[in-house]
Amino acid sequence: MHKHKYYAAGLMLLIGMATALGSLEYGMGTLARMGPGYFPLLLGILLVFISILIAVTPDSPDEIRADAEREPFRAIARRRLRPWTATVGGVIAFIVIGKYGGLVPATFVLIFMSALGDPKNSVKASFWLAIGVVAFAIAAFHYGLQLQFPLFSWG
Amino acid sequence: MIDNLILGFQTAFSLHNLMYAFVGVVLGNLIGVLPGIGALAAISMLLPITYGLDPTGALLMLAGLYYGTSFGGATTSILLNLPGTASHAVVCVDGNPLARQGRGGQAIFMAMFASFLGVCVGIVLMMFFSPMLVDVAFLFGPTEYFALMLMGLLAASTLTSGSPLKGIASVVVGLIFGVVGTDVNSGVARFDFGIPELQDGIALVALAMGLFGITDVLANAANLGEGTLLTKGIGGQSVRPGKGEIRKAMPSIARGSVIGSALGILPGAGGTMASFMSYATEKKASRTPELFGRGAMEGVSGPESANSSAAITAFIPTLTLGIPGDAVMALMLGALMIHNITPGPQLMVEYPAMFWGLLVSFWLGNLMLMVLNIPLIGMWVKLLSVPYRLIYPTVLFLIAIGVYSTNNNVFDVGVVLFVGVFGYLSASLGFQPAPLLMGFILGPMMEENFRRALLLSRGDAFIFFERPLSGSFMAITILMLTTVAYKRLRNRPKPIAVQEDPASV
Repeated sequence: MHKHKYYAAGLMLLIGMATALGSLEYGMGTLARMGPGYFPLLLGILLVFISILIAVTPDSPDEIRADAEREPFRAIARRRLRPWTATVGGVIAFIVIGKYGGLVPATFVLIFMSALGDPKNSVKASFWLAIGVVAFAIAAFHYGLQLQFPLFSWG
Repeated sequence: MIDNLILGFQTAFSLHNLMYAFVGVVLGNLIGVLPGIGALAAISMLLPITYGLDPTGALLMLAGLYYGTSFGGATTSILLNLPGTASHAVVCVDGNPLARQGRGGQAIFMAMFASFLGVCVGIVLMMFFSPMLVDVAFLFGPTEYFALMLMGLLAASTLTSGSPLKGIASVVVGLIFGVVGTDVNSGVARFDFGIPELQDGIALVALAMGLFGITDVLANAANLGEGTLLTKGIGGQSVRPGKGEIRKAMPSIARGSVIGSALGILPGAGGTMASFMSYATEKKASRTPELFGRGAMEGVSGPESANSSAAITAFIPTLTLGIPGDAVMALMLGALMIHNITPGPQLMVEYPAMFWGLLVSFWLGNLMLMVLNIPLIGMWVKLLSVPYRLIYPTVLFLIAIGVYSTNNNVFDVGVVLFVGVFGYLSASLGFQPAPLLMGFILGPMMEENFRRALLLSRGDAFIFFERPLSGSFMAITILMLTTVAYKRLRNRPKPIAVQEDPASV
């Protein structure tokens, strides 16, 4: 049962169902005078239909390949946990710090944190890379392009 | 018509205008290589500078900015897989694999060359057909638009290197993403989850950068720590394509230019649709379709020429009908109105010097760009010899700041992250990002035309088949669908050899 195409179909089924159900909240209208819910409902139903097609039709070559190359989820997670945490976490940090602290700290944390996702990047290298990018950001974006993003802000 | 062209050359080559165009090109080029800052951001930032110029000079400078950024966007798409604009998403599909094979310089050169030729073809076609093209644009009602978009979307779904059925699914997901935001007809905010920022819909830049940039970083993160370089074999990084390659690319450039010129006149998604259609055409026409998505030069040259020739003919609806093709054209229109020039069918007659000067300056600007950039390509490509462990944090920053700059809001950075994670998840399940993006772009226009067409026909759905032009689009659509269904259902007993796939996301 653990086949690639079932996961793929499942994801589409989920999106399709959610769209169709969500669109019921909005007015349907008639075919001649469609309400806001008509088009998304059509799309949702279409996607559910496609997801069923994906599940019941024979595997396509890329699905056969994907099934052949499967590795257990735990193995993937162990290997990729660090880079993923660092990159996703770095961007989240940029959002939060950007909102409350300004461009300089946000950029620094984003670069420093995401660079540490690669075990080959030493703390020192990440630090200097972050300093370099911050300098570039100030010069190019703050002064060069006059981007509306305060360098520092408090709270 | 030759008179017009000569007048255009005279206008564009006057010292003043030459200078404005040059300034525009250089600035555009510099700004364009910053990912995420596309023509739209660059033009809106620099629009105030042009207030003091005469209208022709202002327009020439804006046009310079336009293709300067557009070319810069192609560079980052190829080297870093970061499309700044929708029309460059297609260039990513094959340009980036080429860069990974150490042929980035050649791919950039080809993109530039194809774009230049596309402009040439666009101008020639404009010269002979511009009055006719205006009439063709009038033939398109909502019914025709809907049918054409349906056909375009189905063509886009063949962009995937994998299963076409999944390509169609990606398109539908893109259409669903496009529904988010305020419904134009009723004013109801749909799928906004109570977040005010989502009432304007998902920002296009956030979606494009998330689907390509973030997804790419997450996919490459799997190999972190193994000391990978983006390119294999830094040695043979020549800029000039191989001898036969330009000749081999010629048919694709020719087809791309014609597709681009034809679709460019349609207000809306002309350029984007043209580049996607051209890609699909090249894949169909190629003797080695399996190479597409893994680094086919035709996958760069065709769409790039289509994109640029569409940019030329897109001036027809903008300047003569007053309907801007996209946000960039709308800004140009705004710039014209500031100078008291009202677009309309009379514009070509009243201001011939400006109209044709603008066209020639497109040609000239592309030429300048080629001359300027041939020495620079080597430098851009060298960037890739920097170890990836230093590149990806910088890429993340450029994505974040580029997306921030569209609305000056960190909310969009959150959107880019969400889209990126979703894109990674769905790409690992075989749903490719390019068709999704296409669906997203065309979605809102498609819905509007769908509703309008059925309103006009009083709810008669057969209208799409009854009108000749839309009927033929629908026939092609159905034909394509049948092919997909047939291929999926046909039993394939032979086992597929597992190939090494450098482009696997």
